[in-house]
Amino acid sequence: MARYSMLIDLTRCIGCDACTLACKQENGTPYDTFFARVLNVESGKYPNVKRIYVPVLCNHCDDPACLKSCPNKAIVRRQDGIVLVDQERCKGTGACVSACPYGNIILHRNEEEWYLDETERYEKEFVKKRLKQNVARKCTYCAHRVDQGLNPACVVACPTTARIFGDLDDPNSEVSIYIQEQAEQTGRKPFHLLEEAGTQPAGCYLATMAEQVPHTMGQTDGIGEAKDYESRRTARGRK
Amino acid sequence: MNFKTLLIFLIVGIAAIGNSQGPTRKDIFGTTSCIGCHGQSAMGGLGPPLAQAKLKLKDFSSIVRTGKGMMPAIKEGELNDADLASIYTEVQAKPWVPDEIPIAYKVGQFLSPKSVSHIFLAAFLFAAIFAIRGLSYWLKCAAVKDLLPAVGQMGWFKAVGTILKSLVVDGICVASLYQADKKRWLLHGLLLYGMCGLILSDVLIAIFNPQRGQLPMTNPLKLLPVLSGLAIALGVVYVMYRYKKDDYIDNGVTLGKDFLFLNLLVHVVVSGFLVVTLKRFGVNDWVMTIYMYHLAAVFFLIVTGPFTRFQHMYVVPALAAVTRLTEAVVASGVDLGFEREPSPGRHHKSTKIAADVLKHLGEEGPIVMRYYP
Repeated sequence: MARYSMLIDLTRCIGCDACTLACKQENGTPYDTFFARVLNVESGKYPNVKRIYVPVLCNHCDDPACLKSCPNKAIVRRQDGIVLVDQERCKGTGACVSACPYGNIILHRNEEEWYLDETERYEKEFVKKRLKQNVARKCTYCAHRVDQGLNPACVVACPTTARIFGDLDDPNSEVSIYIQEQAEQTGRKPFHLLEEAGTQPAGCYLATMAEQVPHTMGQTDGIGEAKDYESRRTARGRK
Repeated sequence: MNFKTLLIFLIVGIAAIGNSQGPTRKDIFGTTSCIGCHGQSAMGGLGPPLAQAKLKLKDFSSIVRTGKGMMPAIKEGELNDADLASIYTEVQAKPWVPDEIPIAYKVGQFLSPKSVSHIFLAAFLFAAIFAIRGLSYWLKCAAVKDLLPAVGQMGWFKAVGTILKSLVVDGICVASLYQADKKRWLLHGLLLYGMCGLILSDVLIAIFNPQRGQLPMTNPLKLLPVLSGLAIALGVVYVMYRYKKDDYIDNGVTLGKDFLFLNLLVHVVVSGFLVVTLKRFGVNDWVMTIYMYHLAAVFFLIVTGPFTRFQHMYVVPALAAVTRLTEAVVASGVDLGFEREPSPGRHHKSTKIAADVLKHLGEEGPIVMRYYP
């Protein structure tokens, strides 16, 4: 049985929001609906400040709080782990919006901004109305693409391949291999967001690396050697 | 499984009706509801044995008229004084057969309205403790604690108003369902308002008719529970139909718990109506047993409540109220330290995520979130 998951390597994310846009285009999300958000987080106090980008999207939990809270059984967990909001069954109660510890369900009641009428060629042929008005909606891991063997739109769009999608149960999938490689090469283990919420999310993250030591994969000649890197850093007078 | 249970109940009921005979002057006791608890041979059931009773007629009739313990008060309209007197002589004439004293009496003698209400109070307390525990989990998911500073800025008075309005509109009136699907709202209302009616009538009966004396059908105290029960029965039939027909009823996580709730509800409703019907047709030997079964089913419905679909009764209104509160905070336009958030209303959860990520990176200190950088 497949267990789809998305791994986000925070070291690679440059906060370009390409995923946000790709998602909006792929899913045809209306005004103020973002399935793939990127949080721009600034922390610390001058001079010790840090800025990181945290892409967030539905975590497709094993024990989804949103699903358990839905009174209409409009939220379904598929056998492959993808959690979907059925647009036909949803009655817009809004319990799931609060239930999701990650704030990844979006419900606009009495929606005024909606797609334009299908009068022009663009609206007829290009705008995809996958979503219903005034009901809850969230990221689907692009289930319609995954079912065709494609990667989700945000994964395809990411210019730095910070997003890795695949089947956790398959040791040969892209995501499993990446996790294993990173554990061996950088010692990083994937973590989940807000684990204390107890929803057992599928989506996982790899931490940023404070000390980036480039690995030369056996190359010894020159560029990016660990020693070199360290000496350049000290030369520039950094701690 | 439900249909089988229903069938067994029906067969038992019909067989019992077939066995019952019309009243003859000689054996009034055997045709009254007395035998339900005191046994066909008056050697006891859930109630004490009456054979060779040493009571005086005066005391005997006063117990019958005012009730005692679990025994309901039986008024003139149901049993006249002449019949009462003849029952008295009948049971006194019955032979004393100690072997026939059933085990049920050994249990039954401990049951009184007081002990039963204590059992149910304990069940309610148990359910309430786990319901509060469950609710605290949901409020933690909703990050209510992180929302409070913004709520404080908006004003507590307005916040309480929003919550109360949501509890009435979204909770009791189920507005979202009404707007989306009026037929579903009505069928859901049968269960919801039927349940409300039953609880209300139970409270009213406890106040106005504590001995549970027999009332005429037109009495509001009788009419309310019967109509509420009918509503629930209709609702349950619909839900069972939907569970059979709906291919998408399995959401992959909660199906077992959903069915547990539905099955218990079916048992409660069917046994409840069997009690009323059997009493109406005078099939008295089965009434008490099925009534006990009914109480047991209600007990399990309450005790398992916080773990089955039952919990949606308090979880959904609470979460919907929090959602409305968040919407009110966004609409009030209080200063949250940034100009505008994409898909507003999730800032408090985003900061929580950010803090969690920074914790994993070994960082601490104040966090600033930037939107539309």
